[in-house]
Amino acid sequence: MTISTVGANYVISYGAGEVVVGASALSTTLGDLFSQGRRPPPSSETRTTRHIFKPLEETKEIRLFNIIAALKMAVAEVSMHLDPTWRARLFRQIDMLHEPDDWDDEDKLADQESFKTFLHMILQYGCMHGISLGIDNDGRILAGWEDGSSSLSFSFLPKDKVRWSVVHRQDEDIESASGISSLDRLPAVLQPYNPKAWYDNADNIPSR
Amino acid sequence: MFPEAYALRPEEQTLSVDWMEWHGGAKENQLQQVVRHAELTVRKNDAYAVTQVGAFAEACAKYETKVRVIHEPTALNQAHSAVHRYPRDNHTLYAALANLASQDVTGVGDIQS
Repeated sequence: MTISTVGANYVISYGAGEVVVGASALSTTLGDLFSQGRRPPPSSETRTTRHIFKPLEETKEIRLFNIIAALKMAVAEVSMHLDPTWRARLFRQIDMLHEPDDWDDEDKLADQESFKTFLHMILQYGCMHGISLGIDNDGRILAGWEDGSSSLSFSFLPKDKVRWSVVHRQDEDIESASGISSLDRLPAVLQPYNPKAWYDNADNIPSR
Repeated sequence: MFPEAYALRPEEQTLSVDWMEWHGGAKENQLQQVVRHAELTVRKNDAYAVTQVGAFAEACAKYETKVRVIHEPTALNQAHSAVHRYPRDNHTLYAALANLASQDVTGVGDIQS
């Protein structure tokens, strides 16, 4: 796959095909191509692609575009293990989280190591539905569910560590717990709070 | 609402809040004034959570944190208040506060419309 520019547009050439898109559609188009199995090229060709993407001045919009592309490419690398509908929703959430109007020039963008841990959780425990996603001030990926009075939140740290928080509220009484665990230990540490209600019943839990 | 919304930034010593009733009028007007006088950049996808001070303090006390909410008006925001003795890095408390706040959340887009 190669990418070249023609005026203000980008020309993406793959196999026998070619598509011309504007800057605003490039990220989404790349995501679509990758999800259809058109994998990123070998490293020798990738260097050419990176050179084309390297801007003279990295504006906020360029930074956001690059991080969206990086996150979607990370998803594309494991797309064969993901439900297509879930993956499409994740792509929409990634786009929504990176609306230019929601970011300042000095904001920290999504941390890719954090996103990697998030993907590892999905690969390990399955496509959890009803997730709400967020990004904190340090660029960490956040995921959460709320079920009436109860809530479960994750903050994804590098190297497959997760900060988890769980709250159960009944009338005026609030019970809350939190900790940092490895992905492997998540079911065990959440066991007192009935993790099956979140993992196994995730389809029925509304997003936050 | 994620617990991280209640975490202090490195440069902060207190948690900034607004005494919305200071503005008077109906709740809708109070929220509009809060947004209008915000000293941070407020975006349409941001949201405000409303929590009773008593419930907030009670939740903190449950986690052995005795906070003091003090009205500290600024030049730009007469309703500004600060939560003193607010802990840093108490994610268990942050999760409880976020859960409490999630009962009454209004998007800035809805406030401004």
